[in-house]
Amino acid sequence: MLAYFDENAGPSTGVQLTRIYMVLLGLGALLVAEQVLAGWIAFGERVNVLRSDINFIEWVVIVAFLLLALAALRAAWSLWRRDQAGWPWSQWVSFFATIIGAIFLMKALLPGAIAGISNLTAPELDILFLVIGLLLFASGLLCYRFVTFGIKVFDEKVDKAQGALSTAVSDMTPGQFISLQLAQSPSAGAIIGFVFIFLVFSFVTDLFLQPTSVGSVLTNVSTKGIVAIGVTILMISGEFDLSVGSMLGAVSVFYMFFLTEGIPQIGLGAMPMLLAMPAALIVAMLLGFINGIILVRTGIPSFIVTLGTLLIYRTIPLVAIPGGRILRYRDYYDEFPQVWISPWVLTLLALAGLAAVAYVAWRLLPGLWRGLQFRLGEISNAVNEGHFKTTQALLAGLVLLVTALVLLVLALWLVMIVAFHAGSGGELIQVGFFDLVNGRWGFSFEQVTGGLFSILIPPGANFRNSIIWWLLLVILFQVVLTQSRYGNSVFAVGGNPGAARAQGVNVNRIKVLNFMLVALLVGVTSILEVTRNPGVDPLKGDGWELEVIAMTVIGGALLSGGYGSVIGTLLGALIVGMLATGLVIIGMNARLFRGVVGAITILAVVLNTLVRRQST
Amino acid sequence: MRKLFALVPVLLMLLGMTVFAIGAAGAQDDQPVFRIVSHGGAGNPFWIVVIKGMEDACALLNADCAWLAHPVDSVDDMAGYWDDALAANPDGIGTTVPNPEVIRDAVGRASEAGIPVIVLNTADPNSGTADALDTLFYIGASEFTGGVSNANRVLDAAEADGVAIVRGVCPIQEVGHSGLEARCAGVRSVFEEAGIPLDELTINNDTTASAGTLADYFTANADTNAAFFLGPNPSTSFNLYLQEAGRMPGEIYATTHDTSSEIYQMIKDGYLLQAIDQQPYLQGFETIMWLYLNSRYELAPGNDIFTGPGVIDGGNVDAIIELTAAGYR
Repeated sequence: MLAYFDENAGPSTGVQLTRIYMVLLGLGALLVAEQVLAGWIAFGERVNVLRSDINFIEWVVIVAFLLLALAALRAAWSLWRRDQAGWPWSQWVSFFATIIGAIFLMKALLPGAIAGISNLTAPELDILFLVIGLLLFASGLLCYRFVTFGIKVFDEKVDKAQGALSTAVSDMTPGQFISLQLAQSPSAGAIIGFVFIFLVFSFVTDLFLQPTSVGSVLTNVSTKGIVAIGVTILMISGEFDLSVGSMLGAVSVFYMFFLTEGIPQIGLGAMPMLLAMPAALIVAMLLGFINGIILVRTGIPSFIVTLGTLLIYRTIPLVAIPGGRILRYRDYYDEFPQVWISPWVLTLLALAGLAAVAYVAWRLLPGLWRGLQFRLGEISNAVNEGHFKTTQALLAGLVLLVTALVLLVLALWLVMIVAFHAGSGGELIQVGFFDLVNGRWGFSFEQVTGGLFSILIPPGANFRNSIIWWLLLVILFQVVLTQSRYGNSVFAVGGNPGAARAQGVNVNRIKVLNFMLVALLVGVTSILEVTRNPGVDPLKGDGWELEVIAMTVIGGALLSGGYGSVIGTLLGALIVGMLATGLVIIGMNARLFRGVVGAITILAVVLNTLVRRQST
Repeated sequence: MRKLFALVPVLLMLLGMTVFAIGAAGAQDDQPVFRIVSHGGAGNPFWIVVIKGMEDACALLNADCAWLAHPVDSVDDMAGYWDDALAANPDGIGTTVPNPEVIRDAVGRASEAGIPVIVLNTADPNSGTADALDTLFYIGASEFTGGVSNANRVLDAAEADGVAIVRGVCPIQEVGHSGLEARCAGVRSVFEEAGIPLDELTINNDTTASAGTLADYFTANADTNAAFFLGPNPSTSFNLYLQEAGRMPGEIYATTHDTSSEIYQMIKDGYLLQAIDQQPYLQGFETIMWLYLNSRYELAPGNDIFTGPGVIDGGNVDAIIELTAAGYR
């Protein structure tokens, strides 16, 4: 092949086959897109038996195949013209053809395989998907092997012969490119696992992408996900907290008592609800401080310290709840607490939000616009040098468009809230306090959000505010961990405490602060859990520590410290959440459930380790 | 206080019997020693009532009693607690039998030492066979009968409404627990006879997480219209699920075992048809009383003593709420 591009040989059989393959692939992809559009190939659940409506998944498939067709024809065109760009184009096209083939194979084979171990009735084997998948997979793989064969040799040759041209044509193969990208991320296993599990459940059951299921995954994993953020940061600094579950039970009990009867033994009465929240957080941080101070004062491993406090903190709810029953808010008051908010406050908040959106737009959009202009300029400048300049320009345009649209929608929503409240005449709005903290979207706090969510969220789908808090906290702590001095110290303390100390980092202080951070996040979670189901039982949080540590470890954090990321933990939490919901939806035999979760945890971590080993 | 007074005659009678018995035995000055070993303790609302029954009985008998169990839930720990119980050289031991193999050796040692053993709350699954533990008899509810009662109630109620039960679900919060499995087995026996499928679902004692699991289950099985819960925490998660999914009373024919203030509320609101109460107070109280009678006078009833199924439904829930407040239910 390289001889062909050196323009000193005619097309070999391989090159000719590649050319023909690219043309066939392009036409085939066009055909598939057309068939889906016409409704002959079905994906997902259809409302209409006549197959005249096209659902979201099918639009994705249509667009994907149109793009594949364009790319394949582009590759064939370049190959024909003996254009250098033909090479990387055919690499990427065959790469994606292989992946799409594999996905089709999964779609054809998985439901039957899963039905063996679940309640699902085994569907008929979809011959169409099987054939298309097998063809795409086999031919794509074959072509990919051919066009990437000996790429290293080619690089060296070009380096010597053509000098300047080398940077352009010595692009990595798609496989090398992607494994490099993955190896640079601490959460490679989580990314692969997330994509894989997401695809598996989407293929096996149509219910998985329904709003009810998505809401269930997000809502139920959000609170554990918040605790997992803290545990990740603590684990990066080389320590370990087993006591989070017990702490959750203890703080929930304290919060409940603060809201209802106070603690008469120390002369503390019931608090106003706005005071009860910070009070509970302070109690939580105190518990975390105890963990930390025992650790640094005694030098006992944190595993043992927090194993001890796991048992100690659990006694608080066990002793405190009278008669060990389920302590309910309703046992004290008939009505849940209400707050009255002036619409002017909400208007001001919305205006502040608008200002923030404007600021983000001012900071982001000009840069993206310049980037797009740069890419567009490159197309006209570089005639023969680049292969993906057009694609990169398109991508830059797409990023700009999506960013602008998201900001625009946010701004419009905020304007809507302002308009909604400005017309209300200043009457105070009554909202359930629990709803404000962790209410359901579309039902609980419509007066505050200007009625947006009820349009978007179907009844029965359980999306709660805890999802928003979770994502905000993930962003916050990702930034803290990667951009701030504190984050640097955390990595240093976990990676090499001696060196960190030598550089003037107070190792003990960082560790105690991290324990308090975990506790603070546990406190936030306690408040969210109590406001979702206003009651506490003495076992609240029992067993959380293991699930949360599983999320953290799947997300790529190392038990030995110094390595990990908050985004990885987000993915780890989503994996655990998708498993919990997905396995129930496919009706996994109740007795196999735990085993599956365990096996997938080990697999994800093994994957992490493998990718990491490859990168070093 | 009124409900306390209602119990006064009973207590007086028992006290009288006890005093009489002590007097007749020639005023033994040695304090009787009893131990109860269980797979759960003060962390679980259910056991609190059993423990109160034990403590009340022991106060009457002026006996030295202790509840030996993991505060939350552990079957495996029972072997160790049995060793502790035997070490006290007691006059009698009560035990639950969630897994006979864990305590087989210890029960053998008790019978060698001539210590009477009564099974409470969770019966020996091998009872009546050659593998049965060497114990006197069983005081507790028949879990299986409770499940049967719940299943029949659901079928009757649906028939009265002219609704056909399409599919049922039995969410288990501790998979493998023989008592809970027996409750489901009771339901299954009725459903199999009626030819209705019954799903198993693994949930846990975490109310919010289990509410999510229930939501997922009902997403996948929208036709399920009968549900059989096995305890207070699962019922609370069911209630949370109902609120979050916006479902109305009567859409799902549901029952539960055991009691809690939330369960009473759900019965009043029409979300639960009935709750099976195994009257846990009796299990603690009677175990001590029978251990006493057996260790002193070799007395034993002719058969197992069933403390349930007692049914709580819309008809008696108000009276039960008062007694619950006093800790007897």
